[in-house]
Amino acid sequence: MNPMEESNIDELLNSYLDGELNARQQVEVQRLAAHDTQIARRLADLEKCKVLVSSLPPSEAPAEMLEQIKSTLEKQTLLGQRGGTVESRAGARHLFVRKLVAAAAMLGLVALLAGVVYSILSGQGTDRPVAEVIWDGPVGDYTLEEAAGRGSAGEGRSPAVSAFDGRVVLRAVDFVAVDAFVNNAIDENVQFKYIVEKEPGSKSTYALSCSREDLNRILAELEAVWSRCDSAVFLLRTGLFTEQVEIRGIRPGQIARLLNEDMADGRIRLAKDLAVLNGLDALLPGREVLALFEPAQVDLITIPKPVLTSGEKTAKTSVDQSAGAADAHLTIVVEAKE
Amino acid sequence: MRQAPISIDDSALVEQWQRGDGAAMERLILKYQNRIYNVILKICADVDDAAELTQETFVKVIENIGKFERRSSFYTWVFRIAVNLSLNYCQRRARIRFSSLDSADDGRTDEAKVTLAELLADARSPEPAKIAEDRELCELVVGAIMRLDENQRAVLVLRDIEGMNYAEISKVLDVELGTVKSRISRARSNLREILEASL
Repeated sequence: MNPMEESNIDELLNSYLDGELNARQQVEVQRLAAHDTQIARRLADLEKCKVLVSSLPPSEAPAEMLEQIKSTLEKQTLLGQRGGTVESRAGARHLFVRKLVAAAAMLGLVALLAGVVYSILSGQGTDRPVAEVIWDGPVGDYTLEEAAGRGSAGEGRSPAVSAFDGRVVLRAVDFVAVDAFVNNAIDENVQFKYIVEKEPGSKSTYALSCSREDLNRILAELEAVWSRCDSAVFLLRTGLFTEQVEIRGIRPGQIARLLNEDMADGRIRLAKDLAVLNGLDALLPGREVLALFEPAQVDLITIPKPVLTSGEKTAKTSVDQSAGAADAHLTIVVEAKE
Repeated sequence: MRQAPISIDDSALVEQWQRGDGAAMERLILKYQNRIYNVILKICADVDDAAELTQETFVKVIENIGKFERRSSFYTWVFRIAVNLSLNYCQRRARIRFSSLDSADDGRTDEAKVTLAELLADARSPEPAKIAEDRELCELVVGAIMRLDENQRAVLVLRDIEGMNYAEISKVLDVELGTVKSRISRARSNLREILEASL
């Protein structure tokens, strides 16, 4: 008899012992046991087990069971009512406090956003030091005019008109492609460039001194490669009190906006506001902050590229041959991200 | 075989209870408290815990009587609650239970083992009355039951101690009838092996 058959026979025998078989099945089991000593012995063994268990003396519940049940219920009812009241009151208080805090936080956020947006749109920033300021050295006695003097001195501009001076660091895993694109964009759009440093495969530094128009064109071109960068940090060198404003997650359009801001103080305020805006944008899921306020604000100058009509390559001109004044200084650093 | 459930009476009492008759509730508790306690005790093997679980069973019954829709009988419903509580208890207390059983085993006399050996070897069926009188033999059997897997123990207790038929066990444990059959078969087979091994 294989184990499967044995198991089936056992089930049949147990069903017989437990009175779960109909009359015909019972007769069959009795016949089976009468003709097979093994089955008869097995039936006897199983019956002994059944008798041993069913013969165990019944135990009676404690006499005070009903009273204990009633007592438990009374306690639970009392505790439940009190507990429920206390819990519900505490819960209501907790809920109210949470709602209050949430409302205050929302109001604060809305007010902050409104302030930032208002200052960006109106061009009047707040005096609050909301952006991260990196001190780049000892506090000096620079004046606004002195700070704005770089690149514009002797060019007949108003002292309040400030030269643009910044540094953007792009980090990309796909360093080679990004660097090639940046290099090409500079080659095509700026009439004069300085390559300060090139560490093959890891870092390239382009120090540009050009006109605002040239820089706008480069930024317009760089828009296409920005999405391939893993991070973009911009540093606005103000010269004012030697402070620099750092803007994380900078976009080319934002750099263009800073570039096109003539006044040094206005540019600093705008940079601080952008730093806050980008910071909020990075904190909020979905990055919807900029999507709400910025799309219409990108004012990159798009100038159609000249079409070459001959096979001759356009020769680069020196800075002296440049038509525009070199009042925009931007250092672009492309780094390989590990 | 133990007393059979009287569902007609139960139905009337449950209806009265659901209408707010406290006396009907008391009658039902008094009717079932010993049987519930007995089943729980045979599953969990601890007098104090069995009393507590019995109490907990009836408290749950009282708390939920309003939701009882009489799709099953009150009898299977109340046992379902009791067995579920007992099996949960067994799972929580498994380690403690086995250690206490091991220590209890040391106290058993050889006399009970001899009686058991004779019983198992005898071709005749044992007399229930004699077994019930032999306290030490009963302890030996209870010890063996406690060594069964919890699910097998539950079906065996419901069948051989409470006297439920397979259909009722199936409702109480919420398993198929075939599962009940196979569990009972395995339980008895395993019990036999455990008893023989204890000699």
